Amino acid sequence: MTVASAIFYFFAAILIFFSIKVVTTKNLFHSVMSAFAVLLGTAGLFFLFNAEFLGIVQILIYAGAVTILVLFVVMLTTAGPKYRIVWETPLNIWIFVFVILFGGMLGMIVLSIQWPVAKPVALHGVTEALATRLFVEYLLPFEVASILLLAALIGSIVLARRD
Amino acid sequence: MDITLNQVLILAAILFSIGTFGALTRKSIVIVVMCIELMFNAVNLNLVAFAYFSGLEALRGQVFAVFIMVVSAAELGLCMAIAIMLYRNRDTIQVDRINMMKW
Amino acid sequence: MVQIPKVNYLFFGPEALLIVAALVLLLLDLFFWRQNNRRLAIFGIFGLVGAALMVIPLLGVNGTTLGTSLVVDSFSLFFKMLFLGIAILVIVLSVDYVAKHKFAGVGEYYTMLLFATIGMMFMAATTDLVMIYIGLELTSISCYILAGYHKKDPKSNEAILKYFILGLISSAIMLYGFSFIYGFTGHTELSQIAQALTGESAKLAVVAGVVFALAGFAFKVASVPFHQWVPDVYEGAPAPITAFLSVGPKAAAFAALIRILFIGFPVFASYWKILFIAMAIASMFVGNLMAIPQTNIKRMLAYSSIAHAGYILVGFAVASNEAITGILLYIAIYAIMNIGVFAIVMAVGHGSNGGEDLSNFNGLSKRAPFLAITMAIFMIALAGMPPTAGLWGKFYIFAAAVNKGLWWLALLGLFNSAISLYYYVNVIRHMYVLEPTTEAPLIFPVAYKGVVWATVLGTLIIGVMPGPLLWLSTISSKGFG
Repeated sequence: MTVASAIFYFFAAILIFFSIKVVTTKNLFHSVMSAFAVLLGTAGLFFLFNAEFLGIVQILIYAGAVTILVLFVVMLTTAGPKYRIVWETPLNIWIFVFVILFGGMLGMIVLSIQWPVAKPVALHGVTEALATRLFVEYLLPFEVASILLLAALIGSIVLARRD
Repeated sequence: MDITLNQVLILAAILFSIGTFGALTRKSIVIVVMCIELMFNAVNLNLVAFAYFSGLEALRGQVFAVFIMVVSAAELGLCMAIAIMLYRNRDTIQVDRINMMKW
Repeated sequence: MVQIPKVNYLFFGPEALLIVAALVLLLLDLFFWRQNNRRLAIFGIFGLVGAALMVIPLLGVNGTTLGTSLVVDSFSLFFKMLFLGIAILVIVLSVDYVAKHKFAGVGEYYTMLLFATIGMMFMAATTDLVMIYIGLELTSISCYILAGYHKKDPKSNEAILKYFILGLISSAIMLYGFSFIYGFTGHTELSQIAQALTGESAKLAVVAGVVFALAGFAFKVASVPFHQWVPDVYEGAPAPITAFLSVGPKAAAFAALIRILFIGFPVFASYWKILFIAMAIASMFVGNLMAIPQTNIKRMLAYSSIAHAGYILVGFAVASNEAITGILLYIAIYAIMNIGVFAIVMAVGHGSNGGEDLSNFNGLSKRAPFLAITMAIFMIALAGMPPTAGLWGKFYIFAAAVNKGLWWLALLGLFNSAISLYYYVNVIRHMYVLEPTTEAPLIFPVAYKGVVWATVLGTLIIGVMPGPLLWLSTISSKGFG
């Protein structure tokens, strides 16, 4: 077992453990924190797969900005009744069965496709190549994404402000 | 033994399924959206893995992942605004207690 | 040194002008015309008309710029003009509604409408999956916000919540499909994807990718496995936004779907056709049967819009050039009819204090004869009867189905039109047979009347003379299928 695959298994275990925790824990705060553990673990995998820029962006956005935002909202809105997941209702069992089948199907599909795989190479200057692609081939989506952010920003203010 | 593409894809499929389950069963809007965030995360993992295992010649997967991050962060912010608005009007952010019309 | 691509700035004309108009509108609201509803709306309409004028120099042009992020061809111009027309009518409808319901954030309301229109225009004018995704999300985010604009109304709160959460789930599933398509081909551009897809092993990856991607689009076009949000959101959202949602984002999603399927995966048509047959049949039956027991007019129209999505999906199941011509014709005609219907619903709601119950239409022929007669025309048109435009939309799609040997699908479509006649005629019965609760004549703003006139004339003129619109959709669908 190589170092790389050891790191991969370590992160995979973290991801699966915490994502199950997000879904099952009864405490809203713990659930949000577990979700951030998953997102940070994914950032680790991004570094492993030679996507340094994405890894750093993931850490900056999710650990830096989104955590604070979500925790503020959780604090502002948890004065209600206790949050807990209700396992007893039959609907949830059906959803559970459905999701197990869905996941199994996904796994089968993924395994039975012959993906075109080349030898992975560790590359220097990925970020530079990424920037070139982003600002040449994908310039228009990049510009439109700024409109999208503006729309979300204005919309959030309109919805959340008191009037 | 090295990491193979299939291992990463299976991991992403597991994350995606767990996220789907949470999004369909949890009652608090904040957690539902965090679960949906897990689904987007699984997609990003897929894209980055595809870009890596195809030899990094075409970095389009990573570029696509950048866009997905932008959009999902914007939507998360919007969701927080919706949660605040709902809490102000209805005193709750639980999905099932806001359900007035039949589905 | 990075090669900077040559940009043809003329191609961006309509979108660029609309973006500038939206931003200037926002600033005007902030500094000069604080919450001046009428002036802001007129400015928004000027922006849309300006964008429509910018389309004119592009007529007949074929080309792409910035890679293939922006494609200018008759297909995209057809949809751009359609979206601009829809947005103009919706803004005209909004003015009195916004004033009556005292929305907070008037400038933001019109800005969001313009942003949604920009997103739709980009969706129809690109062959790149990334660009389609960004356009789709720009449209969706604007529409989520608009659906929740009645901040104090519990129904509107519920509408934004359901629309938002289900929209996010469906776009996550769609992205999972896109990631498979990318993973197999290494491209996000549709024609390059089509080139990379060769050999037997491509089959499963494509089928899985397309099935997941379809989940996202089925949500947007309100087709059956993902239709549950439609009645609640249509009922809870502000009425002009319901009119917008039922024609705008839907048409944009159909446009993107046509590009994805017929440029990216024409080789695999025999696989995805089966899916569309199932979706079309299910949408037609669910929409029509569920519409019958509804007593809220907006809810009834929501189910009827699911059924209409089903008729359009018949065209996808046929997948010939003729069928795509039919789809474009149907989308344009449906937009005209449905906006007219919503204008009447809003006029009636305005006169009867926001009531949207079917009983508000009781005896409308005595209280407002003009609205009653036009509503009857629209109901006949939605059911697909002559001499209205509704007939031609259905005729060309079903004729394409018969020509491709899918006569049984056309027969099911006709059977469903017969079912739909039941609830459409029920509205006419409410207006002409039942007695009104009050004899007072209905008072409503002149803007609604203008929109009703425009759409009813459109419905009747196209009904008598479908030639020009058919010619437009024929040249626009050239090269597909």
